[in-house]
Amino acid sequence: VRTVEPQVHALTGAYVCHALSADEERDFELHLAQCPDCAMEVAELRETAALLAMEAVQAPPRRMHAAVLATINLTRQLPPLTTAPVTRPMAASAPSSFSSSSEEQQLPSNVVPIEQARSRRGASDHANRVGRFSRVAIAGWAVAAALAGVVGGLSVHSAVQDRQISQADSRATQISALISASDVRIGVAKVTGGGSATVVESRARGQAAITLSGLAALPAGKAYQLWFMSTGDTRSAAVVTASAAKSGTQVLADDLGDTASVAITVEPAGGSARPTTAPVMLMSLPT
Amino acid sequence: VPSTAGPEQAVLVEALSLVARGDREAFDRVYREMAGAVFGLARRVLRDPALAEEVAQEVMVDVWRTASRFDQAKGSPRAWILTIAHRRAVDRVRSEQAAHDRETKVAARSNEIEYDEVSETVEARLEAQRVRHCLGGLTDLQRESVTLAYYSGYTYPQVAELLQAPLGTVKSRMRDGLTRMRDCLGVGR
Repeated sequence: VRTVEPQVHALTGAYVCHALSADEERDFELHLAQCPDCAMEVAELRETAALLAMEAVQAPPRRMHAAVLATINLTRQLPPLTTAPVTRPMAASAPSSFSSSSEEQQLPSNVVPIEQARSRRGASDHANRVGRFSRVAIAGWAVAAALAGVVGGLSVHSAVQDRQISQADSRATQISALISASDVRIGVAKVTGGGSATVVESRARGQAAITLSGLAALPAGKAYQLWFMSTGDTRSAAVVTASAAKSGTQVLADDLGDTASVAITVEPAGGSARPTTAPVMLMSLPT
Repeated sequence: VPSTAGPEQAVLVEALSLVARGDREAFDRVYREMAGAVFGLARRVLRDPALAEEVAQEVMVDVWRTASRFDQAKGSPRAWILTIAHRRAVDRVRSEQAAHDRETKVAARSNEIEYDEVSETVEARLEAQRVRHCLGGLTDLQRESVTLAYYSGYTYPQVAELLQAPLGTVKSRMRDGLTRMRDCLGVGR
């Protein structure tokens, strides 16, 4: 039985073509939620529109493949939607620096989500919805953590975890800004002994994010050290423990300056003033 | 459930469920299957190759990020991915930043560009032919309403202005045109 007002129903085509104003679209989506006929028609017309796109197929630039693969290495995936997020506090939206179990390793700790919203209407409708859900999930998780704290007498945990969340949020914002910089460049290099380093850098912002993942274990008392090298100057960018470099970690540096290459060496655990061994990774960043 | 379920869509359903679990090889399969359509659509809507590349890149990262939210009960992987792509391309067209972005991007990336090899299968070529054939079966007003909205990213009031036609007429021609395309292409039948 169709109880649909013809006026609203007639919007399916324009909706599928993203040809409605933001207001009309929102109204139509409210209607869509209560109109199975419309939802069915929208689904069919979406399949149809997708075939229209097949008429436009064109080979993408080759470098896009590498850039996408490098970016997903920095991009945390959204957890699936569940009906009971609060009862499943360890959903993947938790900042994983807390967990070091091996099943977490393919989502390296400290890898943060890249926020979508570049402009208020910039993201896809899907991604917008998803973005909202992910915040809900984080809130739900914090609540669950607080509850767990009360039950187990460990209330300090929720405060720590909240701080971890806000740190992850602020880093996500910075990295999102970095990746959308007009002069952003992305490089991926293998590290001697195993693993890889991904460097995302912008001269305009003077920033670089370096992600290490899968690096080899080191003898006790040794660590990986990152260096920024420019003509006549080599300075330490960070010291990273072998376990963090194995499971995955990210360094965000604000002082890129005129750095011409990034290097990694193995140094004593506290770090050295200058590199004392041959680099296990050297990536040049031509200016 | 509407579906244009070719075997490649079933393969993509399987691949997306692996991608949702962090499988990079499965993501690579999705990339190889869909990057051409995503980039081509962005290129058609945006024209500018550098902007299209940027948008296509964002779309493929979105696919990685949100794979767990793909629901095959709601449509094919192709429709899901290309809906994201069309939305992003259209948003970019409408953002006031576009003109400014274009200048800086072209300046920053004007080196010679290597393109992936065109993996234009016979299947894909037939599909494109079918689409052109079905577009040819629409009335002029239906066809122009659909293509100006979908391929050029115009809103329906802009389409009405371009075609000198009343708003309500353009709205229903978009729907009629797509419905006729649906039937001609055999979607969901």
